[in-house]
Amino acid sequence: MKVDVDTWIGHWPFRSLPERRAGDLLRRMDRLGIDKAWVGNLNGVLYKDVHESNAELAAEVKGKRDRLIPCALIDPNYDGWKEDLLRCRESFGMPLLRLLPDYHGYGVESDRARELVSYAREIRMRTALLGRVVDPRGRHRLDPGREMDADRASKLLQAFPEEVFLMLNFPRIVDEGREKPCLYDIPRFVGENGLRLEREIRRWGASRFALGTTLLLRYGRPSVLALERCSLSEKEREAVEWRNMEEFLRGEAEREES
Amino acid sequence: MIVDCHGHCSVDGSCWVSADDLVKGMDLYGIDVTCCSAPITSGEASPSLVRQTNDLVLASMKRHPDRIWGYCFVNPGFGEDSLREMERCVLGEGMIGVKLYHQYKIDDPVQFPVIERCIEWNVPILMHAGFPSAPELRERQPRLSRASDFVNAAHRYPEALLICAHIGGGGDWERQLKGLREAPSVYLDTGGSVIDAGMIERCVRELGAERLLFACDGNAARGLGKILDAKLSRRQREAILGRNALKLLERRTA
Repeated sequence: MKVDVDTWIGHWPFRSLPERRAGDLLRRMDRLGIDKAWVGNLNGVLYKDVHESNAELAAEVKGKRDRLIPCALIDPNYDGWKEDLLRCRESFGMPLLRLLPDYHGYGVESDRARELVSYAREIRMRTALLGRVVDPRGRHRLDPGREMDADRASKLLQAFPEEVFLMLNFPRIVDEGREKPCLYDIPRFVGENGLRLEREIRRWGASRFALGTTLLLRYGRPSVLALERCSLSEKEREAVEWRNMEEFLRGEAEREES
Repeated sequence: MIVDCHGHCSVDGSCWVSADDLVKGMDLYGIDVTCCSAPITSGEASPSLVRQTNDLVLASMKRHPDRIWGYCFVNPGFGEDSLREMERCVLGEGMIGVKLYHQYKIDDPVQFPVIERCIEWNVPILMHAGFPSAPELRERQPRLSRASDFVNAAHRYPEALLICAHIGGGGDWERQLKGLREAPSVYLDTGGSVIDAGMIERCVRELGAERLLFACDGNAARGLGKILDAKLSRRQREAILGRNALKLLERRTA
């Protein structure tokens, strides 16, 4: 089984994407042999009322929930955000929150970010940080997105030592030495003539990584190809392809039970 | 046959990846040949340093003769020295063409003798290129060639075999593509770490598959993955992955 922890549907405001709908994503997943995907809605990047994008996403994946698991986006500066996040959890069945501080106008190290993560924890949601959405070298002049500063991200991680975060599209491990290591997806660990991913898995352990492609913003095959080419035991491969993500979520379930 | 037209290596890994690691990656991803150079990307690219780095590529070619083909890197600012180095590497040692970096833009008059010599031999010039959106990034490479510079060079030398490097090298690739429409003799390599959805299909739409050359520029998974994922006909894919490059290299006359 393959589970992709890093996909998007929707409209990217700064570039025309060839495919945007849940059906497009499912077709891409089929071509790559991916069974399930965690998906966010790019429409929520610039909506004033970001929560509208959550409702759109819930409607878009309706009837496809066996394969597409929607992820929430929330602007913690906007009135009513707590109620919106609760609705994401309880009405839309979204177990994961993705943070987009650059687009929603707060610092990842700020009190706002902490308040948002605290509330997500309170209502039993997990949180994902994004290293970046797009490559800033080619960004539109109005695009506020930047590479997430590792030191600033670390401050948020340090504020929640018990929380395991999902780290999407980061270029490297940024939480070395943390008691509860975070889970990283792999799209930016695939360089160095295709040899880097295996080296990183050997260095940090297979338990630190999860398959992620960034579909439909980018081509998905590079991540799948790089993982296929790694020389891994069956257990290690299984861990990266789906088991680590399952355990990441199970951690939430355990927290819920306790 | 899969030919990666844009790679870098040195025989011992002292600059760029080692030839052995390069070939290891090629084996993993089914790439038959990589066309390599070892450009000097910062500091002064003096003739002696240029010669040293080219020697590291020549040694790589000798170590893996069927897998690594070399480009001769030169700094055109050194005039006659650069031409002599090209003669040594291309005519004497069998390198397939010339690699230029951002020491000068492709349409700078200092490049003209280099371009004219490559025209005489009918060998390609792989030119580092891009258009970073952020002004601060452009300031870091003030002589980075953009599409309009290729248009100027191609209008002056329509018979030159110019390759605009890595459309996915990190920058506004859509802008580069639109500019290159005005330079129909210029080839484009598909390399670079950017793998934006639809990029390769857009390259085909704007320029035609026959002008595209497969390239990894050090990232085999991304380089190959985007070509395999793109919605292309089998004929287009085969042309991009190798046939176009082989046809280009067959044109050599020296």
